[in-house]
Amino acid sequence: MRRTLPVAIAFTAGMIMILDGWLNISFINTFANRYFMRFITVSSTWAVGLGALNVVRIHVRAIGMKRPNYGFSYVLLFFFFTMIIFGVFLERNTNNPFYQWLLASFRVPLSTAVYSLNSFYLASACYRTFRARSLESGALLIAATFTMIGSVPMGGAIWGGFPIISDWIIKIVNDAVIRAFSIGLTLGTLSQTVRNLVGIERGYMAAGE
Amino acid sequence: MEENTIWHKLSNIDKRIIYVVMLFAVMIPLLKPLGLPLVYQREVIDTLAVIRSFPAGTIAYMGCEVDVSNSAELRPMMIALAKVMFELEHKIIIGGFWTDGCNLAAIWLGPVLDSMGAVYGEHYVILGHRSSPTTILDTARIDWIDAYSDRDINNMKLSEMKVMEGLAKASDLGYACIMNPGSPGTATYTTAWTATGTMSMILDFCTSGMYISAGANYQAGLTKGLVGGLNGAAQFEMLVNHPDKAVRSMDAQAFGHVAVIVFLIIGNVGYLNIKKLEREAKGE
Repeated sequence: MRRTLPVAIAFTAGMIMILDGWLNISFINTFANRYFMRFITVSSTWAVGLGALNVVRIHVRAIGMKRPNYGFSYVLLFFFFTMIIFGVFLERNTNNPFYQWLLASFRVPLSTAVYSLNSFYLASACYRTFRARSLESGALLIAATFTMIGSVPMGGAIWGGFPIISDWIIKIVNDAVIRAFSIGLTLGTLSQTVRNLVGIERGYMAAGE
Repeated sequence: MEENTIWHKLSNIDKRIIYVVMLFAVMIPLLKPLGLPLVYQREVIDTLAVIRSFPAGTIAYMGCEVDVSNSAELRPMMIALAKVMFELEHKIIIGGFWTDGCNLAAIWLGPVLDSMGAVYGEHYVILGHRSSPTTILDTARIDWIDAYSDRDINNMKLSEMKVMEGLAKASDLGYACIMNPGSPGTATYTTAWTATGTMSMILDFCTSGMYISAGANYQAGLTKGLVGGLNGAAQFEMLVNHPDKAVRSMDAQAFGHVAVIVFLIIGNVGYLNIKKLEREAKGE
């Protein structure tokens, strides 16, 4: 029973969704959309709540045990609860001016600054790792160079052929590979889905038992 | 073999030098743009033609699947797109499943649309963030208002808004423009709507990182439009006669790319010559 019931639930749920996608039968579509899929919304909302609780638990514990850099946990918890109080409880939407100010004046510029630093790390990492160690890596290097120069206006200004070569690499060579990759991925996903549905794959149960 | 040759130095440049060169390569064109001419891609021209083919009053969806991390590329696209949609008198329904997507749309698009004379609830609406995109998009195929629990980002009733008139289900949309940084992204919408025959007029506005897979989908006809990366955003801005941040940033990106390419060449020249010296030292 411990094995059969979860497999039966997974099979039924999976079949309802498959039938909803394939068949245009009113009561199946209505049941799947109006009732069944609400479970997904409810469970994902619970997952967000659990995630939030977990963040609080980890950082409260870090403060309690005075782990290295535990001061940052104070900052995180302060902003975490400030955003929740102003974003959820005061107006029941995100229109609170203080919430908007925190988002526009803290979150956006700080995140932008962090992400913009990536370009410097990327440049350094490219220089250190992108070496023509073999014929294949040499081909990759040449393709990357043509793509980079061809995708900016300077490439076209230097030589009109750069954008054409870049376009050819992206639209012919890459597309062929991406399609092959996508088809393989889809077939793999389908076979994995069937294994889950019929109970061959039981990894989603505790230890697969 | 001596390990302090010019080739070793070229192959092992201090990262601080790389950072400083990159800083200048990006900063100088930002301060003094060169205005290098753009090379227009067929797909960007065609995407705009598709949008312009819809008459006034068309209900259009803008999927703001954006985050601060991809804002450099997607923000200019969103703003240029919102401007052209409003100029064409299309009703704009703004949604999104990335956590900050709709909040950022309110910050970035709200003031732009308001300054053009758009009225919230009449010309555009922001639906607000929802989790579980598959559920929402699938429910929207049957009942749009129900999918969004009849509430927008401001907790106002969608069913009482003028902009929502004529939008009962997803198939009532004329077209949908999706900002595509990954997942959720355009594939989420094509799976929910195109694959089910609900609506196929989905236009892809993707980051340069997604351009490869988005291009394959566009070529296969899964999406009906494609604008990719900052380059695509700059072309789109120029085509809609609203040159802005993307156009101004293109020179900086060009110089950044050239700096990376120069470092790649220097590093590889150093590396290949070291290998040659090593072979000579071994007597090969």
